[in-house]
Amino acid sequence: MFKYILKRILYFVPTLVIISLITFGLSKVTPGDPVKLALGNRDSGGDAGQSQEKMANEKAYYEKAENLGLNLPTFYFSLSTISEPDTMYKIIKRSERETLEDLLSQYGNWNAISNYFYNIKSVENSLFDIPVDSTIFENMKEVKQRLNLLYLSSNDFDISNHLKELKSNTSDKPVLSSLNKKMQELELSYNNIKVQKTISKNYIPKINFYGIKNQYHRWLLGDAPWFGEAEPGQVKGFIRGDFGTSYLDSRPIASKLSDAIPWTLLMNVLSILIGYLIAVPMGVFSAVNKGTISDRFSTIFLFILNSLPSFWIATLLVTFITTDEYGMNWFPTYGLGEVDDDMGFGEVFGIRAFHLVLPVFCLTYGGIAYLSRQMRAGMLTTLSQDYIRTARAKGNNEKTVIWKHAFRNSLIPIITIFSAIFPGMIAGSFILEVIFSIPGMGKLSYEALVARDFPMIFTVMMLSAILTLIGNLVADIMYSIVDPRISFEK
Amino acid sequence: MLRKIVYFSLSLFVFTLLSNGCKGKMKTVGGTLNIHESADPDMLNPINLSSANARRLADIMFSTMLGQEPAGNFDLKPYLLKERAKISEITEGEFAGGMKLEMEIKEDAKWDNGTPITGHDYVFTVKAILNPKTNCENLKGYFDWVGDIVVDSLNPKKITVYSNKKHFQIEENAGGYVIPEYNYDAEQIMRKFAMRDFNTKDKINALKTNQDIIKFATQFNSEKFQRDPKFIVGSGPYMLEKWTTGQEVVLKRKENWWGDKYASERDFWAFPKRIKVKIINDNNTAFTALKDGQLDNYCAIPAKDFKELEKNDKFLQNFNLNKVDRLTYSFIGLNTRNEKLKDVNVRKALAHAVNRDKINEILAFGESKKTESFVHNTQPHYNKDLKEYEFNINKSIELLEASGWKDSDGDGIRDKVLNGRKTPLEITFKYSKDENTKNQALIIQEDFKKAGIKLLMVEKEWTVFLQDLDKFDFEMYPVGFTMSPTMSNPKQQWHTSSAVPGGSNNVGWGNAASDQLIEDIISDLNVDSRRDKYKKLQKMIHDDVPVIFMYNSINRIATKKTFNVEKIMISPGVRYNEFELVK
Repeated sequence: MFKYILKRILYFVPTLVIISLITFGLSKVTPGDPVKLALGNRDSGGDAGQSQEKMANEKAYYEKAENLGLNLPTFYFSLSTISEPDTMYKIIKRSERETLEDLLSQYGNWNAISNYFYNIKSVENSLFDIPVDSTIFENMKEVKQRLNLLYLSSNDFDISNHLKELKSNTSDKPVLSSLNKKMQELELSYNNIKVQKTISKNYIPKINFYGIKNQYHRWLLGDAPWFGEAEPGQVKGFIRGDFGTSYLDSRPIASKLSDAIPWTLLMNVLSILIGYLIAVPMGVFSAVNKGTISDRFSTIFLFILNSLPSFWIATLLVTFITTDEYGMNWFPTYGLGEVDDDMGFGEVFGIRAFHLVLPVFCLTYGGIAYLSRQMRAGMLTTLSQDYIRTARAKGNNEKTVIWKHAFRNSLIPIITIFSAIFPGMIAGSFILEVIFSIPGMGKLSYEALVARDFPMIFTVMMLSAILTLIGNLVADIMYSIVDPRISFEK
Repeated sequence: MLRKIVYFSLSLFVFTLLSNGCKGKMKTVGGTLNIHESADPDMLNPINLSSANARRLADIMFSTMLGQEPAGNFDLKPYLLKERAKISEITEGEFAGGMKLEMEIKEDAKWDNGTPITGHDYVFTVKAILNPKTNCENLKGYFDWVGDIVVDSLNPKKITVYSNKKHFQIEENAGGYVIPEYNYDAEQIMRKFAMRDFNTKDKINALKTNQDIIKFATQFNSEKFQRDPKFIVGSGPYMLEKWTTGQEVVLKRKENWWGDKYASERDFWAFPKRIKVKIINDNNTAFTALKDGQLDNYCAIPAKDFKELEKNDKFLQNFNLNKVDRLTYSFIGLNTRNEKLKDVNVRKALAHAVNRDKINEILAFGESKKTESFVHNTQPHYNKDLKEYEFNINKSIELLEASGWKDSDGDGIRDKVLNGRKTPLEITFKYSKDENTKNQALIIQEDFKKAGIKLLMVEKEWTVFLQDLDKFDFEMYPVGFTMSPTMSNPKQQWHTSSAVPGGSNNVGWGNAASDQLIEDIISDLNVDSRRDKYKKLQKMIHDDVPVIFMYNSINRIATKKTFNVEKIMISPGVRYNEFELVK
């Protein structure tokens, strides 16, 4: 058994790596710019028309990207084509990188494409040296807008149109004549992309290796030394318990988790305990009395219970039985109650328990229905086995037959369900936590998802994955405990 | 004669009563106020915080150099300062072209430990903001004008601020929060730097690798200075007593607060002994808690719920309901870069085809107020001459015809040849997932059809919606904004330099004259002439229709009858420190 557990724990490693890769990969394809999110979606506007300000804004963007490690290659290696440069990751601005990638997939000639982009920047920089007066204002405005659009355009019709407009706005204005040469170069560089296209390069694969200085490695294992002090800006990585800092309030993720986990854990433990204590005997009773009125009644009752969505019941309960409005002010409306430092354990326990009645009820009732149905089905299968008949034939009383012989063997489906409890312990129920204002993991995860707080999302997903693995292992061990026929020894 | 004497005496008596009543309201401290927020404040460090709910609490925990009238013209007024800054323009020397602000902090203004609030605290606060490593990116931009700040060596309460440019908002920006150096920089690390070390971008950039700068910022950004009651110290009337994440934030009134001497002034009112901010995420739950009397106040009640409350006698026994104008406005932005929307006639035609009355009636019970500008019509710089683009489909058709948009193929949609392509007048209305906005779009869609315009509705997730705006990938989009109580800087939203990816001038509007006018507004220190220019700018925007202005909203507020509180236009609609227990 020990060997088996060890083996399973070793299997955790590749499984976790795969999960971490999926989590990380998802964050890369999700829309939204993490740098802008971390900057609080701050505008880069205002004085961005001035070259100095534009550079300052870009600098702020790059600095934030650097702080978050987003200036590094994404992974240890990248699979690309020979048309793509191995330094594509250095173009941090997501929108610009996407335009370049689009152009590359259409034309395949990186040198020509990068030259074209360089020329856009060159024209843009030259604009800052031209004093603006009212005679050229509209033209300048149009030129700036078209240049901005060029950064975002990869469609030939759009680009040609922008270039045409750029030309018509600069050619007949003497003040803007200094731009003519650069404008011609820009136009030429775009034509070169089309003329010198090397689409065939897009079909020849290439692998780029980047070493351990990459975003994934930094997130998972960190870039701080394992021994000795970390320098400012270095992180220790997920494995070493450094989950990062929330984009929402700049708080360390670990600190936010430590506030939320206890409440979710408490609610879930209570819910599981109550759920199993009610559902298991109910399932057994139902199976033993199969076909009787009580069985039919409980089946219908549980079926109805199982089909009532918990968020709906929660809202109804909050509206109707937590206020005087309907004459049934029986329970607190929300939260966990107010407690003072000078209150005794009993008093605090009483307040908390009273506030948890409704959330725990909502969290539990659906589970009771499901669990007891599973228990009933398992029990019915077991009760129809030959050895049960034998036990009865031997003259054992019915209690012994049910609880000693049948019950243990009916637990397998219940144990399988039990394994899902572990990740559920920290995942929480975001709908119920939001409705009852319980500051648990569900609420935290919900807020993180809505705000694209990636460090928090990563952490919750990874911790859930780890707990799922642990849950499965515990379930396996319990199988062999309840049913000695199941053995993991060879 | 006797009658005259009696009248005069009576008048004098009434005048005395009224004047005392106005200025001499005596405070009665007491009671616990229970209010609610839908989320925790992000932090309670007034320099680093960015959420609105945190700002509301910071406002009563920390003092600012200048306060603001809560109503009327929302004028600035001294708070920590004895009087408003003496401002003069600098004509020569290092800061020529800038401004000089002479300020003096009130004699009796002091910190919780009894030490006086001095210019050194003010200098420290500004240095903390400009430290390139502190987490207050949003605030740093408001202090990019700082040339130098000098504290009088004989009287540390006297401060002279030098700016390196002229900007009408410098006094307001300089009049922000002050935090105690003894608490936030006990080792006085920032004293190693002079104020002048932060007066250019290059100098600030050079400090980024300085170990002392990093050390201070690391400490200043640490969790304890954002959340720990022991380390959150301000000079306002309230202190943080307890913060239970996700449950409640409790503020306690200080026993011997220095500002009590000024209790006759509204800015210094601080009535509740405790303010408990309950964190309730779900609106339905919060609403139930209100009806159950667990909350003393609820702002921004949805129109439908408010109507129900107005009929709920049981509720009305314990609560007062009020409506007050809100400093917000909504509009539909039009991408002026777009080939179809470049033409001002088309934009005007769209404005005439939006039935704001119908939308208001159906979706807001007729309670929103139509607006024609980004300034609230109660503000002194609002241009009252702006005429609305009334709903008139015929006018809309006329304008489209004049611009060459005709239904050439009889499919009911107008078209025109643009850049050599036959282009139908199909306009995309991009919006972020929201039922109300969707319904608004549906109403507009119906009316547009009558004018031969096809409105295509595209729903986007909020982040993707913002991303599309950044990339100018939109034609029409709806949005709502909160207005500044004072004159805001129009550059961010209306100057062409902000019409860049990521800038706030999403619609890409502006011309030489408007840019010049905005520059003039910014450098005009005379409030009257600035107001005139502001009105001109509103007229330019209104005439050019880069956006279709929609509504100013109404704030619906419920307050328990046990409290008296004045309602204000500034969000959330009340000031927490002004809830006075009814005797």
